[in-house]
Amino acid sequence: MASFLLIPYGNPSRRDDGVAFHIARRLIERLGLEVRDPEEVPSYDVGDGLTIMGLHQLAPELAQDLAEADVVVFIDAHVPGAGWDDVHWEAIEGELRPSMVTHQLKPQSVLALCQALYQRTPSTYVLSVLGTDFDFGGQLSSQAQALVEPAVERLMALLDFHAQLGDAQ
Amino acid sequence: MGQKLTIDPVTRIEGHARVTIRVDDDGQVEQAYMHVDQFRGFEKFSEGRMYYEMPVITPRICGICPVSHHLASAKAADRIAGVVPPRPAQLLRELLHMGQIIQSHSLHFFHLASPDLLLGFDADPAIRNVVGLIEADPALAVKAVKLRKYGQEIIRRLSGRRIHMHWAVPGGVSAPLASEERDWILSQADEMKGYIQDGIAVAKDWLAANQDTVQAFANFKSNYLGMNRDGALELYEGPVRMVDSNGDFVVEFDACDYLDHISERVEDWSYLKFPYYKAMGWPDGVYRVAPLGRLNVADRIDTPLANEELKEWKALADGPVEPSLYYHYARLIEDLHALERAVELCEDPDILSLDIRETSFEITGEGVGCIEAPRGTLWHHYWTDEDGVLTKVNLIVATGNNNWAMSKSVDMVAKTFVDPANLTEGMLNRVEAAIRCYDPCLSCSTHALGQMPLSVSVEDGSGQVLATRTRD
Repeated sequence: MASFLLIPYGNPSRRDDGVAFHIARRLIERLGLEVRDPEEVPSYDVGDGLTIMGLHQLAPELAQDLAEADVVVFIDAHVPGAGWDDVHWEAIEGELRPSMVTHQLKPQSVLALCQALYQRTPSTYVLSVLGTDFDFGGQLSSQAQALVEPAVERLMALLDFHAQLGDAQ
Repeated sequence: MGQKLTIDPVTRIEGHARVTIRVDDDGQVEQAYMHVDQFRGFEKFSEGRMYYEMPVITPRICGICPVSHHLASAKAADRIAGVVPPRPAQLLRELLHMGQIIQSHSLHFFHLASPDLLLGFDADPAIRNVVGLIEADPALAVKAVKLRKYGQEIIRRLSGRRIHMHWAVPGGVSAPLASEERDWILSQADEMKGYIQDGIAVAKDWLAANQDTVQAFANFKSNYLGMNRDGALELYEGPVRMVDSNGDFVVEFDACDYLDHISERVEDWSYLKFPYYKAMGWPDGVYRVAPLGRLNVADRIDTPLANEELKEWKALADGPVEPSLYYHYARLIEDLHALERAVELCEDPDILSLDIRETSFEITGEGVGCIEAPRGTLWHHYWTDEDGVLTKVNLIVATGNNNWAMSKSVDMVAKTFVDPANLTEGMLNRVEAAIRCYDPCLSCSTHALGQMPLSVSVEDGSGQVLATRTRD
């Protein structure tokens, strides 16, 4: 069985910016597990090779965690105007561009760091949900809330696919 | 008709910054500004909460320096609760803070500053990054990641979490340090010390070899402000001292009395206020904080290796060290001090004590918490009703204290290096690098995907966009 690392990240106090955590918690429920604390950023060692690591922002040392996984999914929100589907799914490759400040690292950059430092590249995807309300607060907009379940479906499909692949092998 | 260039460099919806470069009729840079949104929204968001929730809420301001907000908030909450944490709790909090300084300073130097220094301001952005650095100096890059992870591990082993810790509470901390965690921190220290010293060597070599650039790049006079204890650099607890542009003592005050000494000026072109020293007025009272400010305020550092570096640093100038690029060197000296101080704290017999919390509270209605965050002096100030419900919150964030300095740096660098008619990547990078010296916390709020990290638009006097450059 491949090892999966799911990285939901965002600011849980900025409404739709924290949609990834809602997606992760719903996934936990769909897998038949209990959500420990709905107020907390979810981090779970689910078992069967699946790890969920909730983060506020991405940082360089995450490269080491990527190097130890076979499949990685970054889960985030995107803003209107990004030109993406409401539930955006994309396979990404490593690409590191200069950062303006410390607080800004893209999934592609972490993946590039992983390649450069550890000479290993997991299959890496971005799952991003359209956000419309990034004001202060813990509740999602109704639009983002409606996209949680489709996003979870996308993750379930990925997990099912790899489970079947494992069975076939 | 004059033109205006706008650099919109950060992805956040709130808390983002832009640089506007105003161009005169002759096509030359007339003035450059840096605009930043502040966290007033977070302050309003906090009103109505219980004071003891703030150490949990405020780390959500920032994903990179949550510990600074966590600890400043806990210190303010101590004062509202009318308690003084026992010594072991103070030591543990300071150790957490040293972990934060190590991870943040190491991240900034190795990940952001060193590509500019080692690969060049004009290098292709495709290689002017840490991967380019890995190709140029793979050993240094690996050390960078290990250092950052070490600081993060100190935080995790103390607080039990990577992010959003619940550890510092009014009156102390919620969990002691286990001896095996203390031993792990100590076991790594010598290796990490060597890594920081390697970084210091890189910084010193580059600064020595590039003095023309250093002296021409955002080099200006200012006052300097930072926490200080009897002349020694202090990052966790102590009075705040200011020296003037000659390095002469101006004032020292209890951090809780900041409102008696610091005012904030409002400019109509920025949401971020401009703090200054009241007694000197605006603009004479503007100052710089963070590593350059703190080292210019300090006479010594009370850990041996960092103090030796400070002596070399002090010898660079007859008076304060002013070029902004020296922030990078100062940052690494503080990094070294934080590591040495972490060892001292771990070797203190009280560090494993279980006497970690005072629980006899009496609501005072007001509390100030101040700490030297990696990016400068950070104040949290809360007012409550008699039940401890927050009625007002005031934050002066570290980056805010350097607001004037960043704008001044951008203005100087733009005038020196930017040709609006022939914009190049290297020119824009120098403007960014001027801001980067201060390691600002501009993007603490949200980071949704899909926005452009950097766009430059050329506008005429009526605001019409004449040209745009975008980089992602």
